[in-house]
Amino acid sequence: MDKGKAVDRGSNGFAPAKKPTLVIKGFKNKPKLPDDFEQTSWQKLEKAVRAIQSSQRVQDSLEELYRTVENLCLHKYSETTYTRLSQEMERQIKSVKAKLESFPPSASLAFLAEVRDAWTEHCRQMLLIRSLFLYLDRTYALQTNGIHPIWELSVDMFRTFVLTPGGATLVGSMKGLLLQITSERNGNVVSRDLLRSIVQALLDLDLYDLIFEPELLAETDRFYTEEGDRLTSEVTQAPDGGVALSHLLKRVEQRVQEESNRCTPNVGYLTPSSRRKLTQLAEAQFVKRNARALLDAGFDKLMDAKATDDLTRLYTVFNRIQCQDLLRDKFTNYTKTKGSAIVTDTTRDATLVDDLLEFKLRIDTTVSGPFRNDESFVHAAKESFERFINIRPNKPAELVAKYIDNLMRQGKGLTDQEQEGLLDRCLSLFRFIQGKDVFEAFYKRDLAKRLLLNRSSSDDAEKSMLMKLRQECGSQFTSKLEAMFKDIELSKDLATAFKATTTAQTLDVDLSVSVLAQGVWPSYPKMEVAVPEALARCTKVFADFYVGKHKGRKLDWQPALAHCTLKASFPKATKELNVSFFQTLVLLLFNENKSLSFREIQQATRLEAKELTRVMQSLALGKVRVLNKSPKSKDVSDDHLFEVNETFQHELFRVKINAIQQKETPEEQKATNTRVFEDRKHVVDAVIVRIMKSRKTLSHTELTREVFGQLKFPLDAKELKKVIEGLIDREFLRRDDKDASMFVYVA
Amino acid sequence: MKMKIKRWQAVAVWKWDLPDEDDVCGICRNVFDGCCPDCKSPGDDCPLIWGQCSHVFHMHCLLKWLEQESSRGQCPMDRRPFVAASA
Repeated sequence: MDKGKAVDRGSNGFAPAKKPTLVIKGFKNKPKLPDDFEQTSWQKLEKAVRAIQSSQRVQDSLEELYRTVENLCLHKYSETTYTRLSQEMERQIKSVKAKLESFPPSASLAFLAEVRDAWTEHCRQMLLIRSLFLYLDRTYALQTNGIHPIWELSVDMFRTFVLTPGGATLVGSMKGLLLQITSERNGNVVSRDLLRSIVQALLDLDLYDLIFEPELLAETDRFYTEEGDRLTSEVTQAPDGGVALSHLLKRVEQRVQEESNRCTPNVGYLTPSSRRKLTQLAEAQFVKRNARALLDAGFDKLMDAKATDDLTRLYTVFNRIQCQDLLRDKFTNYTKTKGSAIVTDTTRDATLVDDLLEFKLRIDTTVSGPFRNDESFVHAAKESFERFINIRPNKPAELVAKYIDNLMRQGKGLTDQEQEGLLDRCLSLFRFIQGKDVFEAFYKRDLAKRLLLNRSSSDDAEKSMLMKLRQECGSQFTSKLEAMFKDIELSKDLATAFKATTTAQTLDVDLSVSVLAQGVWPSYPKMEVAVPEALARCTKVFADFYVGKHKGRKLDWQPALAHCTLKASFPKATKELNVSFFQTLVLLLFNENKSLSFREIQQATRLEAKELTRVMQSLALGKVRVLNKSPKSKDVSDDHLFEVNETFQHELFRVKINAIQQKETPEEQKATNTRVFEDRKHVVDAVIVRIMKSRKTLSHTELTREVFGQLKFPLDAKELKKVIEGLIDREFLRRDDKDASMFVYVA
Repeated sequence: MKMKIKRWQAVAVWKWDLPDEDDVCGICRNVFDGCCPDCKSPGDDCPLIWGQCSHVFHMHCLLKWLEQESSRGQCPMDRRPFVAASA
C-alpha cells in the first residue's frame, strides 16, 4: 500500500484489505498423563519429607518439589496426597513418642530438655513441610470440611501421640515444670529459657489453659498456704506483732512482685494471663485467709510505731483482696480506743488538747498518706473522733476553749501563721464536740477577760477566730461574741469623748470605762464595796456624762472587773503597779495607815471575806510582795496584821501584781457549767413546746426522737423525762386520758 | 508609802433606768431588760420608748401598735394620744 491510497481510502469507497485469520485446532491425540505420574511424583515428595524428618539435605530443589505438589493437586490427586502426607507425619510423630517414652519417666531437667527439643524439632520440620505442601494446604486442606490444615494436623497429632493429656510424657513434663517453679520460689536459679520453651509448647498445643494452669494454681495455692500459715503464726505468736506483720507485708509485696515478674513476657516464662490469678493467690493465702488475726496481732503496733511504709503496704493489699472493711473497722477501733484513753484520763487534763491535736495530726497523716485519702477512711476517722471526744461530756469543750484562750493571750512567740494554723487545728477538734454551748460559755468568759483586761495578744487573731467560729456554727452562735467586740469599740470612743469634756479634765484620775450591754457578756456576781469619796465622785461624773448621751439608761458598776495603774513611792523605789481594783482599794488604805489588821481592812473596804482573803494573799504572799504579813502564814484570819513592805524592790519599773481573781477559781468553773446546764434546760423546754405545738399529740418515743433530732447538745433520756414532767406540772402538756404514753399539747 | 491612782479602767453594765427592774412591757409582757418578741438580743437593737404619759414600752412593740388603725395613735395603757417624751 502506498501513501496516496491510504489517504483517499475514506472518500473513494474502496473496501479495506482482508485481515489474516488464525485458526486453532485441537490435538489430534489428547495428551495423557504418564500412568505412573502420581506414583513418581509422590516418591519424589516422600523422599524429601523423609529427608526433612531425618534432618538431612533435601536433594531436589524446593522449587521443584513445590511444583510437584501443585501438579498433583491440579490433576486431582489432592486427597491421596493429603492422606499419604498425614501417614508420613504420623509415622514420624510416633517415632518421637517412642523415643521420649524410652526415657525413664521422670521430672528431671534432662527430660524437660528432651521434650523441648522434640517439640522444636517438630516445629522446624513441619514449617518446612508445610511450605512445600503449601498449594495442597491452600487449595484442598483449608477448603475441605472435616480435615485439618497441615500445621493444625501436626499439632493435633503431637498432642494425640506425644503429649497426651493424662499420658506419662505430659504428666512428667508438667511435674518437672512445677518443680522448677517451686524451686525458683524457694530462691534457686532456674533455666528460664527452658521453662519458657516448654510453656510455649503447652500454649501452642492448647494445653496451657485447660490442663497446665489448674495444676499450676493448685501448686501455687499449696505453696503459699504453707508459707502464709508459717508467717501468720509468727505474727500471732510474736511478742511484738508489729515487726512480724511488717515482715509478712514485705514478703507479700515481694511475692507479688516475683509472680508478676514470672508472668512478664521475655523476662519470665508464664503467660500474662496467669499473672492476676497468681498474685491474687499469693495475697489471698498470705493475708486474706488470716486477715483478722493479722490485724489483731499487728495493726495497733504499726499505728503506734507510725510505720508509714508498712501501713501503705497493708492498705494496698487489703484494698486488692477487697478487705478494706476489715482494715477500716480495725482503724476505727484503734482511733476510738486510743482517743478515749486520752480523753478519759483525768490526770492528763493539762495536756489533753495538745495530746488530742497531736493524735489528730497523726491520724490525719495516716489517712492522707498510707490510706490515700480513701473516703471511707476519712469518714471513719471523723466518726471515731466524734465518738470518743464526746465520751466525756463537756470537759473537752471546756479545755479546748481554755487552750484557745491561752493561745490568744500570750501568742507563745508563734508567728501569725503558726498561730492561725494552730487555731485551725483547734477548730477541727471543736467541730467534733457536741456540747458546743459549753465551749461557747467558756470561750465567752475567757474572751470577756481578755477584752476587759486588755490581754489579747492580737486583735487580728481575735477577729479571725471569730470569723472561723461564725463559719463553723453560724452567725447566731457568734452574735453575742460580736456584740462584745462592739461594746469594747464603743467604749473606746466613749472614753475619748469623755476625756474631751471639761469636767473630766478636773478629775485627777485618768478614768476610762468599758460599758457593757446586759445579756451579752457573761454575768458576774455582784460585789458591794466601799469606794473612797474621791473615786465615787469620778464614777458619778462619768455616769452623768453617759446618761446625758443615752437617755433612759443607768450604769451598774462592776468593781470586780476593773483594774488600775498605781504610782507607788516606796522608800527605796518608785514603781508603777498594775493591780486589780480591789487591790487598789486595799493599797490606798495604807496611804494613811502604817499597819492594819484584816478586820480593819474589811471594815474599811466592806469586801466579802473570801474575796478579801484572796486579795490580801495576792498582795502579801504572791510573787510580788508589796505588803508584809504577820504572822507569815499562808492562811489569813481576822487578827492578822499587814504593813507596807518598806524594802520593796523590783527590777522592772512597771510591776504587775497577779491577782488571784484573774486565775480561774473552781467556783467560777462550776458556775460556768451550771449556767450552761440552766440554759440547756430552757432550750429543751422550748424545743418540746415547739414540737408539741405543731404536732398536738405525740407518743413518748416519737417525742423523744424529735427532741434528740433538734438538740445540738447531748441529753440524758432521764433528764428529758424530768423536763417533760416539769412541763406537765406547768400545764403545757398533759398525758392522754386513755393512753398514758401519749402526750397532748395544752393550748 | 504613797499610792496614787494614775489610770483607772472601770467596767460598768448599762441597764434601762426603770423604777422596777422586773417590770414588763405592757404590750408584749416581756421584761424590759429582755427584748420584744421580734428581736433576738436586748440592748441597743431593741430600745425602749418613754411616753409623756410616763408609760414605757419596747419601741418595736409600740410602733407595731401605732401602725394599727384601731390604735388611733393612743397609748395602749391610758388611751391618751401617745407622745414620746423628748429625749
